[in-house]
Amino acid sequence: MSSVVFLIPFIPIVIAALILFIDSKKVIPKISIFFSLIIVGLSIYGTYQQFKTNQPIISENLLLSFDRLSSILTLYVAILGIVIRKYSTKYMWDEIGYKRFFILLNFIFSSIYFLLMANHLLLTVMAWIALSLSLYYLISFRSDSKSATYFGSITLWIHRLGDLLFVLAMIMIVSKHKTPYLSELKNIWLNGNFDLEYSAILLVLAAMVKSAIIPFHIWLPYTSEGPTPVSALMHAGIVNVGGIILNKFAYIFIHTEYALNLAFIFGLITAIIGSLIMLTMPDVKRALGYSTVGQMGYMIMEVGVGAFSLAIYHLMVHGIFKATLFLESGNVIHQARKEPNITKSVSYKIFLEEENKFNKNLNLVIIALTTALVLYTVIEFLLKQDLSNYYAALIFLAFGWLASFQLFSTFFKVSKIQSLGIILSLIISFSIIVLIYSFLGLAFEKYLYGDNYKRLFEAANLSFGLIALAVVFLLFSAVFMWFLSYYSTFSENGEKIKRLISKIYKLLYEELYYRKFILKLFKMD
Amino acid sequence: MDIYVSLLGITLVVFSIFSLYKSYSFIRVLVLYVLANSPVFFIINEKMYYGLSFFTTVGLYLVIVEFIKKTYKTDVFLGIEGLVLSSPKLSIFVRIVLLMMANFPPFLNFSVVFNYLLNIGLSINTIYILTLLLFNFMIFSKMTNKILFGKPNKNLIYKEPDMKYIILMSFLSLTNLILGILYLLSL
Repeated sequence: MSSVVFLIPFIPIVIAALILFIDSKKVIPKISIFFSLIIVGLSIYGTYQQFKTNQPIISENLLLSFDRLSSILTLYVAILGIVIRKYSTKYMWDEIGYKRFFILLNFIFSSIYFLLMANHLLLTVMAWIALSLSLYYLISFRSDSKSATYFGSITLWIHRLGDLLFVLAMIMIVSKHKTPYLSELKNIWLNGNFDLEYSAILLVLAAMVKSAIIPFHIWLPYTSEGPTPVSALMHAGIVNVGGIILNKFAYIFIHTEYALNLAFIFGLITAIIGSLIMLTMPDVKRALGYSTVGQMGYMIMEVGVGAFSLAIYHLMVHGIFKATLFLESGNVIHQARKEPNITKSVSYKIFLEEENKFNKNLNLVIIALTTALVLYTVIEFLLKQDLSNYYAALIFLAFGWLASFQLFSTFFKVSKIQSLGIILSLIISFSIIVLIYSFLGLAFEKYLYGDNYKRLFEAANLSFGLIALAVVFLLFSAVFMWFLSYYSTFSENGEKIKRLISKIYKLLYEELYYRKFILKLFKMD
Repeated sequence: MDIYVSLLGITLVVFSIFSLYKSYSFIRVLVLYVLANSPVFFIINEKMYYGLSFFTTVGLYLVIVEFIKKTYKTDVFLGIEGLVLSSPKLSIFVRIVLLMMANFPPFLNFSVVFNYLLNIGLSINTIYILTLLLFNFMIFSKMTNKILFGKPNKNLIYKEPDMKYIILMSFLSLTNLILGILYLLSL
């Protein structure tokens, strides 16, 4: 009975096959959404089974398996799928190729489900490659647009590089252990002692390509010409595949020394540069694209420090957040044409309002909340065993400062009056990270990896010095940015500093000239 | 023996990659494809499956070329662009044959070649197969951009294949696809 969950990756293919024979525009989304609801039902059932039996469900021919990781992610992807299909129903109504769009959409979902549930390495490779291909077809959906197909081609070439790295990693794994079954490989990796450095490094590089980590990031910000639902899917689902695959093969990193450090370093660079470039981008979709690049940097960095489950948590939260932004982006652009100022949302009024109009009650609430959160953070640091073990405390300290760095960087865009609001938001965001991590993160960790999560933290092999260096670097950068902004306003040499800021701004605006390099490489400017 | 075949294969692939750059004839591309792919016959274990994948691919390609030659009176794929928008049925089969040629899943071409790759470890054969995959992908990339995508040519009257062609193309595509899925299930 529990093997009914193995229908999940096949259902989107059935939907695509059915759509092929249907011409009514009204029926196509209805069928698509109805069957997607079945996937949600099956995912919930599979998750229930996981809680009940605590054992992965493996198909008779060992090709597919439904484990704890798939239980969380199939449900997430299924719900995301329904939202995107529902949104596309009207958004795509007047587009040429309505049917083609829904067929391609179902193929891409099928690829994701296969990737999540594959137990045989050939099937994993199949899903990995199929994902690159379906993405290419969706990005090039407007096939008569030269730029859409051009950037589609660049995307496919970059993803083929990822495919090559992934296939090489799989070849090395099979030749080392003589088995292509992931369920067996997990046991081998947990109980043996091997040198798997090269295959793990290839795996990290392949994940970096799929997750748009610098220097493989250029495909992400420039592929927003495809339909908005595709952008939402790309930013909420496809870029996360890197993190998913690293989690799927997490135990391989127990047998490596440097692979996770590589992920940490590239993740750190991407998080900083991606977020900074994002701040300088003039159009909404490209800014969102670079924001995703930055967030993927965080995600890969989380893997790099051994916090594998935190990466899963991050990719889900970021996915929901970014899909919402993309699906809303059209509306924001529409509103902006009517109202030239930034739409005054609640957060804008609290933190960024030019005139400080906080009422006293709100001030009191914020101060009370901040004090409680800060106290909680301090207590967590001092008392809780789990947080002081396995560098976890240092890890979220680093991420807290990363968030703060990003916030301080916004001084590029906001004026001096809002400093207090930003510092306040910084403290709150940092404390929220601690709060959520300590309640959800550790529970997540234990659900996905049981007691083995400790081994993954140890595998990261991060010295106190490296983490401390990262924290000091980020702290210094944040303070440096703040000083630059402050003195450009108040100092007598303000003009000089402003010129320096402009130069940095231009460099970031030009995306460090990397885009031009890639366009030259692919012979189009 | 395998080493010599692989070395010959690599040489043929390199030659084909350079020749592909200036090839715009359907038949010339097919010749290069056959030239670069045929050494695989001599090194792969599952010759029957590989043979089936190879012949269904070449067969489907020839049927499509025959239709295009008959309809547009040309053997060159320059000028016939925008098939996705102007001739959707034909574009599906062109997509399929290109996917088969480039060893994309879930066709038999993918399953046989990648299963072989996974099982041989790192050797000279791996290098040959990987360079071959690159060449096959270059055909896919070039023909997709030149035929499938782009704005439809206003000076051309696009036609869809008639039932006879559709049945033949469907048979070859489905044979390859079903065998590919059966192959995966039999792993």
